[in-house]
Amino acid sequence: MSPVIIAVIGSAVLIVLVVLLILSRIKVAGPNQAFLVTGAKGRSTTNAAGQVSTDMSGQKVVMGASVFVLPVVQKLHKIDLSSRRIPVGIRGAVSKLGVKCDLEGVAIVKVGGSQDSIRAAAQRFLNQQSGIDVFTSEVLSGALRSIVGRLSIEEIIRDRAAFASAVAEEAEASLTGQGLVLDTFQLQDIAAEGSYLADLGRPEAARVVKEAAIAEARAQQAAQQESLLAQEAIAISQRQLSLKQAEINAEIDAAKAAAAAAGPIAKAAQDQRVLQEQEKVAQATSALTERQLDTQVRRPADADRYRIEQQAEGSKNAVIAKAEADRQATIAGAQAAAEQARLSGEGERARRSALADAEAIEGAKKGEAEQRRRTSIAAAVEAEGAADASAILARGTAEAEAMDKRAKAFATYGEAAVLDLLVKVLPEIVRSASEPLANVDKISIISTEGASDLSKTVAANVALGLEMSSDLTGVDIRALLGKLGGQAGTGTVDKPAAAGTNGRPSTIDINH
Amino acid sequence: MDTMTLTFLVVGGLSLVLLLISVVIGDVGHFAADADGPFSLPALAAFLGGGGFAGGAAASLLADRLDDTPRLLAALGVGTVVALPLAFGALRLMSGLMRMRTDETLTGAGLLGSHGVVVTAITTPTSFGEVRLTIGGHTLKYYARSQHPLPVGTPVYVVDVPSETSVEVVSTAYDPPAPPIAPLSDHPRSHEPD
Repeated sequence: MSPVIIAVIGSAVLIVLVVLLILSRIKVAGPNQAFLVTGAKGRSTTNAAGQVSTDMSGQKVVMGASVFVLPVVQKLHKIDLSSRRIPVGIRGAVSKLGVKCDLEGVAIVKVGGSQDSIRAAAQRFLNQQSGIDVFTSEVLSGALRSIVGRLSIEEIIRDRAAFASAVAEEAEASLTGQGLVLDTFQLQDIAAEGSYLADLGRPEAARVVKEAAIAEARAQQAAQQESLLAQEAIAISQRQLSLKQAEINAEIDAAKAAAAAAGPIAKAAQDQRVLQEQEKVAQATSALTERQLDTQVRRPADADRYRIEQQAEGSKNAVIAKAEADRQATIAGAQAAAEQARLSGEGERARRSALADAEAIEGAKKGEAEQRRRTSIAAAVEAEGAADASAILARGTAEAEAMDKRAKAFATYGEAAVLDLLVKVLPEIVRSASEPLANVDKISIISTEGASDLSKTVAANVALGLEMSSDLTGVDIRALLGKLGGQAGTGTVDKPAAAGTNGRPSTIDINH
Repeated sequence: MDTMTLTFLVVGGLSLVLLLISVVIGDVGHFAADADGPFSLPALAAFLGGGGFAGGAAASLLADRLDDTPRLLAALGVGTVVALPLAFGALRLMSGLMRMRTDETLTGAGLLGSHGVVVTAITTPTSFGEVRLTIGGHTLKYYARSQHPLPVGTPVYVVDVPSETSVEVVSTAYDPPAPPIAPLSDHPRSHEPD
């Protein structure tokens, strides 16, 4: 290889290396670094007083940029701008209200990003950058203690602005002068002495417990109410069911009773038919009795009455005739006497007037006597009548009361009881009605209708007896009987033409 | 290859080695000569290297034509002629780079007049809140004071920088003008719907 070629290659390499070396003097700061290049001269300024001062421009601060550093005459220093996580813990710090508490927090601290901060930090920490953590931790502990002293525990926990402001003030006082920036400071844990913090939450916890209890109680109440309503509905349904069952049972019982009563009803109907037949017999009997009465009593009585009337009429006519004759005679006598008096004169007239006076006096006396007699008779009759009337009134009142009581008694009896009574009494009535016949040894029937009259009489007697008992008891026995027969009582009765059968009982003794 | 040529080439090679060591390891031998100016390492290495290689080349080319002494002089001359521009170039490059611009570093005065927004409420004139400022692409958080209470979210304007980490701000929030007071009507207002 020729030396020339070596020289050319060497020169080229030389040029490249020289450029590289020069360029290698350019230092580039990372984004988390600051360079301080010292060694250059600051600008000197002379003020009006002639004092010369040199500024800090010779000490170049470079952040995240490139800078050419001359070797030997200039020196490059690096400062890390990265954040540092610094745990801060204090124990037994006294808060504003005197409650002691332990705090644990974390601070994020970095060297400030401005020229002055970097210069200040470089002065202090350039060769002890790991000491920033320890130093700051101690400073912040003291700062936190004073912060806690300025705030109450509640403010520390809740009032972020107040805490941040206090922290800022402390940081301004203690960290800014050293070129450090407190990026953030957060409390991680706070513990107060005793149960202070727990007691802070107790009212709220109690309130929540109270509300929960109230809500539970209300829910329980609602549930209970609902269940009670449901029970009520069930009870109502059960009641309806029971009512239905009772209705059904009643219908069944009624049907059973009807079935059971069918026999007695049939028997009663049978009895009623027997009674009807007996009634016919009684009717016939009463008709016969009526006829007998007619023939034996009424007609003779009528004949007697007619005879007496005729006799009276005759005697009356005779008396009238006689009186007329007397009057005529008297008139004639009087006329004659008048004539005679007129003829006889004054003496005669005096005598006659005296006679007349005497007669008048006598007549007056007689009238008085008659009047007294009649008055006394009338008084006696009146007294008798009054006595009779009061007696009748008393009896009537007593009877009416008895009636009332009976009627009430009957009213209180059920119809069934009355019917029962009636069924008991009816034979008695019929028996009584037919008693007149029983007492007859021999019946000679003088009637075109024959023996049916007898039964008619008996029937009439029974009907009368029923009427009477109706009147006396106040119970419509006919209607009852009609019900018994399964038909409404018509209430119409063939009343006999006349009353007054001999053997007819005047009352029905119910207590028989 | 004669001794002279070899010597020149060795000098150039040495300068190369020096440069290589400097580049790889960093500046070695912070001797006084390595300073700003013509005696800095890159200038010296360029001068020596350039002179050595150029001199070596000249010496080898003139080996058959000249005697030793004039050849040495000629080689030295050629080396110097070549080495001086190289050294000058290195010096120019260095001085140019020394005056290179770097990004401006934030200063407290640079905060003045910047705009931001409140992130922690400022409650009283004596207590600190926090504002977020945006300066030249940096988003920075500063403690802030204000004469008036400012709620979170209020846009603010920096009017003073008391310290490196705190600013004094005023609100730039739009205050709507107070509504004009309606003149009292003579008659009582009727509640008839329009």
